[in-house]
Amino acid sequence: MSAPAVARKALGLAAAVALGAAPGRAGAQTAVTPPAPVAALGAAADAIARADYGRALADLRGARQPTAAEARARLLALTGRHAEAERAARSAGAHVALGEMLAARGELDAAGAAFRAGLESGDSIRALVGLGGISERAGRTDEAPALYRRALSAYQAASGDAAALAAVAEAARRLGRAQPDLFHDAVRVLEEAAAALPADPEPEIRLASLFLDKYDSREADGTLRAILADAPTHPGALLLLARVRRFDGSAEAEDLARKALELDADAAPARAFLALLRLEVADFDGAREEAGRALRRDPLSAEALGVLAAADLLEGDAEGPSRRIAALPAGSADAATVLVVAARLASRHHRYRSAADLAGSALEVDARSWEAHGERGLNLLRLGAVPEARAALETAFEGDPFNVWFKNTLDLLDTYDRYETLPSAHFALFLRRDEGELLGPYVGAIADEAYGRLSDLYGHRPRTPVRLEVYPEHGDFSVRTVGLPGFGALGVSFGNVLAMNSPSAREKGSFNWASTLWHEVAHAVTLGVTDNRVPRWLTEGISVREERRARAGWGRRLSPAFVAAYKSDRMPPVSRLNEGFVRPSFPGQVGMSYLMASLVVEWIEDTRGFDALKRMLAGYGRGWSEERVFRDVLGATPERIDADFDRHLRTTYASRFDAVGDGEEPGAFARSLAAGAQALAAGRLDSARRELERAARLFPEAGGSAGPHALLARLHRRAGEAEAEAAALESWTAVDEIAYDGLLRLAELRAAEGDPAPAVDALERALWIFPFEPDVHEALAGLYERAGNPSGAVRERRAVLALAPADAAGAWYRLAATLARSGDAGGAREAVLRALEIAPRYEQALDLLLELQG
Amino acid sequence: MNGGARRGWSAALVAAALLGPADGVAQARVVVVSGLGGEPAYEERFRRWGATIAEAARAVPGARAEDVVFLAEDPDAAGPAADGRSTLEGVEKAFQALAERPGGAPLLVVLIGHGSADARGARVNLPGPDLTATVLDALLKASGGDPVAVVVASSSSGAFLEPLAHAGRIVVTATRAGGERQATRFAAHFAEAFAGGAADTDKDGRVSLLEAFRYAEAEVERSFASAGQLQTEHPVLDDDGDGAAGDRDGEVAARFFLGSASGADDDAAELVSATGALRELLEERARIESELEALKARKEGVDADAYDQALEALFVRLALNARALRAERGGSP
Repeated sequence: MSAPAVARKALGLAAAVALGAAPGRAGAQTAVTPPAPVAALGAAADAIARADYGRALADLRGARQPTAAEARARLLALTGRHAEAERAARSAGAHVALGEMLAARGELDAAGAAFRAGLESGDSIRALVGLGGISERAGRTDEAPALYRRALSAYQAASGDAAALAAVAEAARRLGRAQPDLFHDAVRVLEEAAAALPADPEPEIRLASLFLDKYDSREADGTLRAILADAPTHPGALLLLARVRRFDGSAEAEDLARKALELDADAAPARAFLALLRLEVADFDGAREEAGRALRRDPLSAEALGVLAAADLLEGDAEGPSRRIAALPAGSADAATVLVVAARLASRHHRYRSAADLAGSALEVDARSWEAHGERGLNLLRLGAVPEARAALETAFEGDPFNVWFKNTLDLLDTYDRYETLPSAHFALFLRRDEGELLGPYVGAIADEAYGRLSDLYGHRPRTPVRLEVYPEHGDFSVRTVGLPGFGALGVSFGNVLAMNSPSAREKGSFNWASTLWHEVAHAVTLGVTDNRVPRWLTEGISVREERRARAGWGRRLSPAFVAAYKSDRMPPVSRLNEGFVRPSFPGQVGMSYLMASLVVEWIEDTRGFDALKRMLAGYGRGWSEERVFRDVLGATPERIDADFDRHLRTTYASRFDAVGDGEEPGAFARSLAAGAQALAAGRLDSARRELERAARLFPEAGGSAGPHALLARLHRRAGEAEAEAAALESWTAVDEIAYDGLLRLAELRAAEGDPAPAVDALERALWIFPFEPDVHEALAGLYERAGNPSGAVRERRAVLALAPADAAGAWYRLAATLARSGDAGGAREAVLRALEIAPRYEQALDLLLELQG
Repeated sequence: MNGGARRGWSAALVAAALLGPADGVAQARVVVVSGLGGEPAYEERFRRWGATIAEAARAVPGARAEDVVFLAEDPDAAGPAADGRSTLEGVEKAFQALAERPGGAPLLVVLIGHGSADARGARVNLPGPDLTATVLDALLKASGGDPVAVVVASSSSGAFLEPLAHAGRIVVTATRAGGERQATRFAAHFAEAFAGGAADTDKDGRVSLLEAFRYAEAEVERSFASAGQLQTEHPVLDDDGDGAAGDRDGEVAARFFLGSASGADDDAAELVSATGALRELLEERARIESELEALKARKEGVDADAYDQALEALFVRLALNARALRAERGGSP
């Protein structure tokens, strides 16, 4: 392990301890938004704790006591009564509160004056931190560190004052960008603040924010839910929870953000966040509208400007980002934030080169933006520039050693010395050494075939070599993709860089690696042909469609679960299908969105011809909006497309829709399947046969080992009906790409019939699911020999050897014999020597060696 | 034994070949016990695995019926392969019968079934009273087997290692500790090792106990990996008497075959009795093999092509020698 890697390990541990050790977070029982001692608030305290802000304001009406008056001013601001809030703050001499209100509207000069007044009036810690923030936003970044340090040095004076402690923590957090250890202090002081005034959720919310910043959404989630249990309308907690939900990919994010706006409909942070959410699902109009509302409140909102910068860029306005940051004061630290926000959104829309460039621009503004270093590194990695990516990530991690994504990714890069790169015609196959010898030939063959077929079909040849990374550990693939373990997908395409699970990464029979690879190569083509502008639903739809076109059985097919979801209106229409991928509203919706997108693609192809798909891609490539693509290529509005596709689906698959029940009530298909399964288990074969055949007729696409075809195969086997069993297995494997056991059994039955070809076909398909069983390779080698295909047999014999069989001498000998029969005397000689090296008295091998002597 | 008979891949031939002794060497005795299944699926599996091993032992040329005993939970279901019920009494009687015969023959005992281990010790579940490690140790000591190999292929069998450890005794267990309590797969693969040719890794025509163990060990690991499951059993072989797996283990097991105690001794015995051309051929084979060992030892320092050329020359000589030996012994060259 390299020295930086060792340091990373130590720091990572420290981060885990610091961020994980936050006692008392779950203990926050009440919510008091304004940082004020409960006693000073009198009766209002209870109302605030319940988030009954109307009642609290009534209780605080006419309050003269400074803390209570400031609390009232803050409550007015919280509930959207900004003019009143400002007047109340001025009247109460609540300078810091006033400064924060003004700063939240982008009035930096006025805010600065208010903070300076606060400094003079003795509220020094909060005022110093407020001034620091203004300095950074106003472009006087050199002044900020000294202000934060002064706040930090006043820590002792803050003892027992939750608000002052929270300000000290904020100072520590901001200084922590240059001095990472101070993040420990920020966490510790926030904990102290929470303990000083357990009724005040603000320190807890800031802690949650810190956790989320470091990608610990679970910790943040627990904290926020505890706060919202008592104060369900707390806007700050709601908005942060919305951010947590977004991080987790949940559709709840938008609902929560809108709920956070109930008290103040134009709160800039929530509007800016909504703009981000809208842009993530490619709703450009919605994003611009939300960002506009945010900027009307706060013209300097970095998040809103970042969203607009990204929207500009994604819609073809390359100068947009520069123009957006020009709205900020010269030298503002927010410029880097704007560019990082834009970079992340660009990356989300597969524009990795743009994302890396935007992050690079952010670094020109602020060389200490560790987020920008990290974003640049991650996007360079997606572009396949591994050494440059590593350097950027090392810098990012050095500056922000608590960033789990950076740490995980660097840890992953440390394992790359266990991998090798094998060339194929169009790919650089990046495989772990212990799997390379086995997987290389199979992966290379499928990848090259997909490249050739798809690039011919779509008229675009991705730049070669395409880098294909295959990870035997799902956690590594997940980190490569999203920086954290737990990513549900099997493969990902970054354009000319593809990454996927090795078949060894998952349980045997749980996925088809070859169709996954085909799917990702299709992405490489559609991303390439559109310069990464293709919308998510279309690229996924084409990829699944191409899986189905490539091989019998591959790709998702209409399922009873999908039909049930569609019938109950749980699937979005075509024009909003992106949402089903990006922010699913129920478990399983992402998978169903893949299927639906592929059905839309198939429908477009059927009704408008394959060329329409190419023209759609070309339109997106030129930067056309979805509406324009629909209008100019498909000849319809999005609403019309939604309606037409809906009618198509319900008409084409009417019988499946009829066979699937509504809601909880099982339909005819489910009833027949259940009755058939039950009868089969009870040995009532006639009844089972009748019900299962009916189920198979009602929904022929239904696969699965408990589906009608699989159960029929079992029934026929039990009844000794070999031909019928084989037919049922053919039906099963034609609709189910992971029917591994079904394929092995089919091969056995077909091999017994005499002609090896169908058995070869079945075993080849089985290898696309799981290629790690020596017996399957041995059997296939034998079948290839019977079929007179020596090259196939040789490939299989080599596969057996790559699996390090117990009988290595035997495996070498059989390879040698096959090579000899195929006329490769040199290869045979080498192989037989390897056999004899292991087993010198191996008589068959000795005889073969003599034969090879001629 | 006729070398030509060692060719071919039918199960019967393989079993015969793998287990076959050199002529005139004492026949191994074999006791296979399949214990209490607890449910039909396990009853069937235990019975099938036990029968496979017993039948392979019986297929050894020259094997006498009384040398192989197979006890099953349900002898009727096991058919002609079974000699009786696998109760503790049945096991004790089988050992008693062995002890009454002249000593000096190798003894292989294979126990298949569920097991357990607690403060009272390790046991294999049989119909009626269980077979404990203490009782098994006593039975093995009294058996007169020389050498003795015992395979405890049950769950928790790692707890048998220490109580059964004995100088010169080969002890194989399906698990490395009593705490590995899941039903085991080791016996299935151990049976496979005797029923097929794959375990004969040095292709000398026989499966040593070490080869069978290594084969089963690798297949257990592969079967868990294929299923994407955490491996819940880790087989152990101990033949240096220390009750644990170690670098020195395997030497005795490598020379243990059902037909004879020592493969190396087979060569020596044949050489002693050989005369004339046969003797010359055997001596030549020994010389070539010695040169091969010397070449392999130098492999790292030799150019790969030059190494293969030298290797090929030696193996051609060895191949010609093997043909001549076959002809001399009366087989087809």
